[in-house]
Amino acid sequence: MARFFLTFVVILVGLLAAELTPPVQDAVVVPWTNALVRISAGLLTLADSHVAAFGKILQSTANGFAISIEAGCNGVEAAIILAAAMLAFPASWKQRAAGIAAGLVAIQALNVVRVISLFYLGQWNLRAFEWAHLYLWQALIMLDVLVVWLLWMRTLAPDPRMRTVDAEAAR
Amino acid sequence: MTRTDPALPSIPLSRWHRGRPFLLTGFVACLVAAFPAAAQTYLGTVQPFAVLGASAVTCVVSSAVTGDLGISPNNASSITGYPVPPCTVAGTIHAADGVALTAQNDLATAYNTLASQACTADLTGQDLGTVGVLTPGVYCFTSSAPLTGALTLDAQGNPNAAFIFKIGSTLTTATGSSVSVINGGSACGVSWQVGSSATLGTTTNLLGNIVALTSITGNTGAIVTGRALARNAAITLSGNVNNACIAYTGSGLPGGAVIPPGTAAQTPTLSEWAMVMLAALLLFAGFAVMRRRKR
Repeated sequence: MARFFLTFVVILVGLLAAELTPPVQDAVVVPWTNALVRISAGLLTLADSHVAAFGKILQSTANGFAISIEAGCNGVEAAIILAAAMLAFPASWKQRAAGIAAGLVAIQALNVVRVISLFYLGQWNLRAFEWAHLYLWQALIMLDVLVVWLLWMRTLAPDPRMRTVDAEAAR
Repeated sequence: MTRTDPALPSIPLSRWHRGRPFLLTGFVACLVAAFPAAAQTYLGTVQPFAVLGASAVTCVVSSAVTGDLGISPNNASSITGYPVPPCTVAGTIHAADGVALTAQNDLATAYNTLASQACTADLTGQDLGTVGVLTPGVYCFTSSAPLTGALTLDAQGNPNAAFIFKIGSTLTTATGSSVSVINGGSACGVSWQVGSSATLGTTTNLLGNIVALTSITGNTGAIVTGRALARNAAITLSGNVNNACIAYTGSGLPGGAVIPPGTAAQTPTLSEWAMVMLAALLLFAGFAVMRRRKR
């Protein structure tokens, strides 16, 4: 358990530090943030023609309301925490890769839903927007990550080293 | 040798009941997290630029540019005059670099955003110098827009009031023309979406962001308080351009302060405390699973 904890902390700190470096920002974070805006705008425009996306901003051309998707708004940190946990946990590399991929999809899909819901909530009622933004969606994103984490661990078989210990204890 | 054995049974999720207090604690704690805020205009990464051209940026006689000066796709060899006095740049010059490229891409988006705004009034065929005082809105010209004399824009007390001029072809100002914003507004809320080229007459004093599809020419002493931005061709200046709008908090689009600081400006997925709590939750859950595996 101590090894899991230490490995998790080291990987998490390493990934978060790497995320802050200009090369990673330029190559991953900024392009992904812009892609998130485009994906959200693309989905929005399927049903609403009064949506414009420019840079990091989504705006309603009907009433002028806009949201800006900034660094930290793109689900990357949540994905990093989940990835660090999966990399630190005893599992095969194949299982880790599958778990991280599934986690990325789950987090980013929910984040798109979050952005779209906040976009409309803000146009309807700013107090509701604030509440959902500050409280509800943070909890839902955490729940999303936790559920992926639990389901992923559930798919894993127990560590064979533990089975060896159990077998020796039974003798 | 792998560290897991697929033949061994997995752990039922229902056995997680002993970890529930940790989870509840985490969710209650994450409900009190907060976040900072910032503002954005429709210009995106163009915001720091006072001058941004595509094929050339030229200082003819003298010109002081306050803010960044950029060119893309052409490179530094297409910048003439700057930054040698009396052609000065109080900012960074970006020539065919990633910053200028991104800004040009955002400029195209900004141009289209302005073009997509619904018209408040159609002023086609009128001279902006004779239309009287205009209130915030989107004013359209299907062809050219002339300005002879003074144009006054009334912000009606809204510091983020937006005035957009959608011009089908050219914007041309006569010698000594001027634009002013009264009643609490800002030059930063004024935008000129020009379908071809803008030509500013001698000693014109223009406020706002000129977002031109083709080129911008400022004759001797023509001053722009805002930005001169050309998507496809050249910017030729004989006067000053002062980007005094870097700290502007409005969006520059109808609706006034559509991105009010402290409210809708940022939508963070997780605050710092929520991240700490999430990491702790995953750790606790991992510990619990490992403990059960030992039994």
